[in-house]
Amino acid sequence: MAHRVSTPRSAILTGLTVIAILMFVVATLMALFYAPTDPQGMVQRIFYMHLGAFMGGSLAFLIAAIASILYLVKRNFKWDMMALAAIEVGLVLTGFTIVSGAIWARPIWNTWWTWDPRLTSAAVMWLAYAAYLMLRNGFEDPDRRARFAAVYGILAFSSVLFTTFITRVRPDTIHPVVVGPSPQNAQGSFEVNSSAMRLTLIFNILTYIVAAITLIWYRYRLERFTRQVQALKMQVLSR
Amino acid sequence: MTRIAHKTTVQEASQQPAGAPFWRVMVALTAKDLRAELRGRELINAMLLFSVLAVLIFSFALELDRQARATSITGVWWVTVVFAGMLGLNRSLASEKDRGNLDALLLAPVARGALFFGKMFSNLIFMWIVAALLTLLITVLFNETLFLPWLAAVMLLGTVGFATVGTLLSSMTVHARARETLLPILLLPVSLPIILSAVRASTAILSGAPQEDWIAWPQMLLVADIVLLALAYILFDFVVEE
Amino acid sequence: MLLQQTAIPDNLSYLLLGLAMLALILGGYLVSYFVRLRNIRREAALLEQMQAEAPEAPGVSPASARLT
Repeated sequence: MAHRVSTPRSAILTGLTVIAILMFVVATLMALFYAPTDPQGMVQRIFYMHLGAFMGGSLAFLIAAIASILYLVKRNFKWDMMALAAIEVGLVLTGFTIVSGAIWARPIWNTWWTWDPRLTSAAVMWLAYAAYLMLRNGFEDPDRRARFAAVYGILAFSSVLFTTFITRVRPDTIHPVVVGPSPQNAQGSFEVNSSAMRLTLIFNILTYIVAAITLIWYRYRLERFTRQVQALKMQVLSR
Repeated sequence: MTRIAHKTTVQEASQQPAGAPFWRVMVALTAKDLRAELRGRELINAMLLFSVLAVLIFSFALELDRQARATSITGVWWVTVVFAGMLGLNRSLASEKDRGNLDALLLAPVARGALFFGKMFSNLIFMWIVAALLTLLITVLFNETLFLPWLAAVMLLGTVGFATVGTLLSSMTVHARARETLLPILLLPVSLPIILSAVRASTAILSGAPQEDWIAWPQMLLVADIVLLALAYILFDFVVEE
Repeated sequence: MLLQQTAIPDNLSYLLLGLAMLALILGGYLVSYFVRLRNIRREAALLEQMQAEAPEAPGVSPASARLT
């Protein structure tokens, strides 16, 4: 009576899971012990996870936007499931980005939150994708739900682009940009100036990207299984 | 009486030949909405009353004295226009659907894009009527002159962007179970970049800051408007395809 | 500038708080994943049982073929 998720887990997914867990452990240890302590203090180490999770989350939202476009073009429900899976994972990762940013800001900016353009647009991005999940609940018909969700998934991605580019357009943000020149008003800037710091940062970004892909894959399989069971339920109940 | 006349104009709009010029369909649809509204006046009255009430509540809640006015009056203006606009967006397609006109419109052999822009323009015109009254009201009540050319440009750009996203999203939420609650939840986060840029620009313009300080905001608004118009034009086809 | 400060401020507690939030958010998501997986597996098992008890409708493939 082994009820596995519809198809047995592929060797690639098993391998990816192992790699993701190992990378996550190594990346966290690197951020905590390998990277040198910044003049800002120990709290600066949260930055490696902060940026990593943001990159992983942004990748998830990019995957969701591509899957949404593919759903509208191909009308295959697998793209709808992938968009849903990616947005859920993206919400988790960017949720951590926002929370960890607030925790870093408390000792550095002396406040948990400030209505800085970049922080505001990150929060708005999160809310836009949370609304995506609300939208899915609002429609019964599976075809219409998938279609409308895809349209909204594409529209919501514009808010991600806005978040990414706003610091380049507007100089009045106080959020530091660590890679490339920081805005002139940036407060609490620090430099990733040693090779150990750079390596830790790159490895953390890679880790969260691999973790995001792995999580999306699992969530996709769960969604596919759920829909198969629902279809079976309709079949059994209609007899 | 109103209903029959309304139906006929829908048919008039639908009976355009398949190759009917894009703009004629658009104008016909907008004109139909405006004519229906002129007869009933249910929407515009509600929107206008709402915005007067909103200004009243804001002036008490924010205690808008002389100093507070300069910094927050454009915020009050935008929030009121956005929420009044949402009131209109909620009704504009819902009334079509409830009267059974939506299917007739979609069956018409006309370009879907023309339907979108027709609906968008009627929504936009309602918002502009509210905006005009609000500008007058604020100028009289708070002694802050809002009639500045650049401010008008920003208001134009902001309302166009908001109406674009709003029309697209309300054409989806009209089918939802809880359409009145779903629209603001979907619309506000997606249109917030527009509202944010518009408020920033308006406040800076009103404060008399030099142009190079705020010119980036209207530029960003213009880019956002163009991107959103193109996106909404493409995506609307998928929303109404059934 | 912060970089010119000689003393490194002691804010280890904030780092620990950040790590706790990472564990809470990622761990919470994993827990929710496994709860959902367990629930849907239970439902699948129940449906399969119901199908096994009820006479097979003609032309309907057995559930086990689709779920394994």
